[in-house]
Amino acid sequence: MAQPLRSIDLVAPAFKGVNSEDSPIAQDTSFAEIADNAIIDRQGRLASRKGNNVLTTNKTALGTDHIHNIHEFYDSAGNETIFSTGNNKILSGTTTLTDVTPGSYTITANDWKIVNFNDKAYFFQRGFDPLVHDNSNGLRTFTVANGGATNATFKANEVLAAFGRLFIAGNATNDTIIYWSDLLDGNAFTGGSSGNIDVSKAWPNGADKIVALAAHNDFLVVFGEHSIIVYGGADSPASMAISDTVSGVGCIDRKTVISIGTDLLFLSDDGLRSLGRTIQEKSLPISDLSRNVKQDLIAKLASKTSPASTVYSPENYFYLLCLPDSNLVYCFDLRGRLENGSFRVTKWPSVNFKSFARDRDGSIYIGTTDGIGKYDGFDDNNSSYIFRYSSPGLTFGDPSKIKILKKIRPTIIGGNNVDIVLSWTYDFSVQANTSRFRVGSTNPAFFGVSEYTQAEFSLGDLISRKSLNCTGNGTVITVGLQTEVNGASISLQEMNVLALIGKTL
Amino acid sequence: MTTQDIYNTTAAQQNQAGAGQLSVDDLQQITVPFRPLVQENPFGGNFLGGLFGGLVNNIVPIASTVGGLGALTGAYDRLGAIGERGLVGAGQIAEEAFARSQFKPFTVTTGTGSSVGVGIPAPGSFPEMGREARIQQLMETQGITREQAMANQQFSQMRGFDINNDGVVTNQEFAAARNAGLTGTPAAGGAAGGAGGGAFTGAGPMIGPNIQTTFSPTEQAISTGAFTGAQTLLDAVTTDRATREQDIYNRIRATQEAEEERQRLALEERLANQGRLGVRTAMFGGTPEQLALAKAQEEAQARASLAAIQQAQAEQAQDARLGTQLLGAAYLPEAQAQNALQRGLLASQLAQRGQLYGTGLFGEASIAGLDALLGSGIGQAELMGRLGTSLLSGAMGGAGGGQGGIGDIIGGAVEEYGPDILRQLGIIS
Repeated sequence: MAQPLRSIDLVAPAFKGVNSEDSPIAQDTSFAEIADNAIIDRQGRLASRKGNNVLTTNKTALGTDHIHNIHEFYDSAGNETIFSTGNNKILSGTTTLTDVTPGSYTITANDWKIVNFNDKAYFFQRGFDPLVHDNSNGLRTFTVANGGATNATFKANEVLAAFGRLFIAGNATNDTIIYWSDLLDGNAFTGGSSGNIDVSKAWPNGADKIVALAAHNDFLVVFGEHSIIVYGGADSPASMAISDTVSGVGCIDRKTVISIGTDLLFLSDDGLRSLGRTIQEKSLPISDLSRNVKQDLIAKLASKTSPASTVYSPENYFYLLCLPDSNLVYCFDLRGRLENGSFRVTKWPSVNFKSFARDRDGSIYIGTTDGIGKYDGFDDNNSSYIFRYSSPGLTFGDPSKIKILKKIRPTIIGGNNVDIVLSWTYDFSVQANTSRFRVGSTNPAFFGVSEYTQAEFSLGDLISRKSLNCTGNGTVITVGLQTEVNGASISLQEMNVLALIGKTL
Repeated sequence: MTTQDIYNTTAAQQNQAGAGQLSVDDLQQITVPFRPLVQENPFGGNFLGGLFGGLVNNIVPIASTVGGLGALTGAYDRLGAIGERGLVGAGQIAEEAFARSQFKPFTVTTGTGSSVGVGIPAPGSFPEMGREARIQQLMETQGITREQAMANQQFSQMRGFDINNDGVVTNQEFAAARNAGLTGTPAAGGAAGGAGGGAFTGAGPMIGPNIQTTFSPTEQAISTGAFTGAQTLLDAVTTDRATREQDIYNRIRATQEAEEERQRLALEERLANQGRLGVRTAMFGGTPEQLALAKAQEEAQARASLAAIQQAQAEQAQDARLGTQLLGAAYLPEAQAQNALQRGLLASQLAQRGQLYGTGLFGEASIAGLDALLGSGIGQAELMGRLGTSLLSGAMGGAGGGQGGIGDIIGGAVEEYGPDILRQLGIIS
């Protein structure tokens, strides 16, 4: 007797991002097992990320190294300079990377942290004479700028511009003392109202070392590796006092601390955390923003040897966490949190992105071995990348019965004359059944985006609806999709899976 | 006579020695000794042999002449003697009056037991001694018998030399009485005239009339204590105050340091709780609170230092004030003794006025007696003069029935022996 087809409609598949933590068969179908090179776009769909539009045409100064750091300096006069670091040099510019390293100044590492403060840019790296740049004098060492040798204690690793001062910490011999500069004078760490505080006696766990500093909600946040101290009244550092402490949670990389306006994100050794939630919940696991990829992320962090790089893009609603060692970028969607308090997350694997920076206009700079690029377009320096999706295990409500997959009907938005490969597997098999189809050719031009004579106005993105017949059976079905992104965006609007329910095993 | 000599004499001897000065009784015994006219023969035997023939014949006129001349000569001599007696008597009266008008030492004893002696030391200043011990002392030191020693003490007590009324007169008491002129013995150097011929030679407690104050033991203790205290305090006034200031400062700081330590610990705890223990600032060194605390402590130290200086100065002033007060208190017993002395002086003056009045009466009476005595002597002289004149007038007038009067005799004698006969007869000089 014929049986009716049972349908699982994956509306906005992977809307909740990747979940590698929960059991595949018990997961909400809104999760994804895989969501590579994807983001959650404005319509809440799983879409391909943008690419790296490399701006650099002359990277001679960079050599074979990659860009380790990108920083936009701007002052009140409107001067702007993009600084980057790499090849043990300080570089400026985006198209042509110009070596602006001060003469007779030898750099042997590229782990700089750069901040703007009072019309100047300050460069700090552990053990190196700090650098200061202003539009009049260019880039100078503290020794030159101050007219005297810089005390080794000020050759710090971490720097924060806040409360009208520079706060620095972590020199060659000490990781527990925070030095603050004189008011509005980032060069002066002696005299005036400068000072320092040794937080070695303030750690809630008894001992720790300073990894990062941040300012949030008028608090000075001191991140240790395993604890956090929140100082209030830091606008008068001599009088600032502990407002709160968090034990058991710290920050492992000073470049991962990002203010998202209402909260402060940072990378802990067990994943991404937010300070607001952490303070509120006192380090309860529920505050783990990367809970859905926790084990995966921890594994990556364990093998991490190079500094991470992060960027927050309110325009794209995401927070990117780049782990250069793994050629991996985690993309956390910040528009909302899931039921478990985590952010939706997708991954950008196999990318050579090494560093990020956000410009004032919202542009995201990407540092690679090619130089500096922008998060723009849909190719990585004219190379394609793979957009991939895989659903969690689908049981049609009854894991004990055999499902005979009949059809998969995806609704795909975008794409431009590319092959799309649908795949399905039974019972977690690594061998997938696939079916390929090609979307139409279109090069949409949108009003206000594409200019006249460059593109012809079109009615919108190409929408492709296919119905692909499937074969085989099994109790748990996993469906997926992958395509090459090469110049055109693509997003997965919907995927309808039809199956017959068989006998009970 | 030395002072020691008086103790080598008996009371009778001392009494006898004391008779060297005239007393009222002595004055009453002053008499003009009768000096009978004794006519020595101024002529030799030849003259008398030649003369006897005439004398027999003119015995009556010669007797009259001789009697008249004798009476006149006696009257003349008597007048001279009366003058000398008057001079001597007046001098004795003056000496007696001077002695009687001398200041009489006295002692004022207050109700607290202190005493002020004027002219002699206060009784309290003389050591007391048992009678038997004193007798024995006299016997051993003076080499006199027991009876003599007892007589010595009895006489001395009768003279009022037992100043402290202990029943004996010690060497010190006698020396004081002697120095006060009560013994009639010179204070020093005199070797004779001492009462009883005593030989006391030790220097007495008084070299002349003065005032000696003896305090009761209680007052003496108070005065001594006050003096000692005053000395201590006044010495402290002139002592360098730095040490005292440091002591006061240390004591003030000792009272502050405990609280400061509590505040420091509280601040340290507060800073620790605030995670600010390690704050070091270019402006404050540490935290503003630490600076404030340090400033407060420094100010407290400065205030303590200033307070110490002020307190030391106040104590210096207080020492000076108390020292002065104690000094005044030290003199208070003496002042009270002086007040008692003032009151005693009134009584003394009353006694002295009586003494002086009595002395005046004595002098007037004695001079009157002397005048009467001299007057009687002059009367006697005048009577003898008139008698001699009458006899000479009879003799010169031959009223005796002889060959002629005394004029003839004298004329015959001058004619026979020359004018020197008159000089030898004492008729002319």
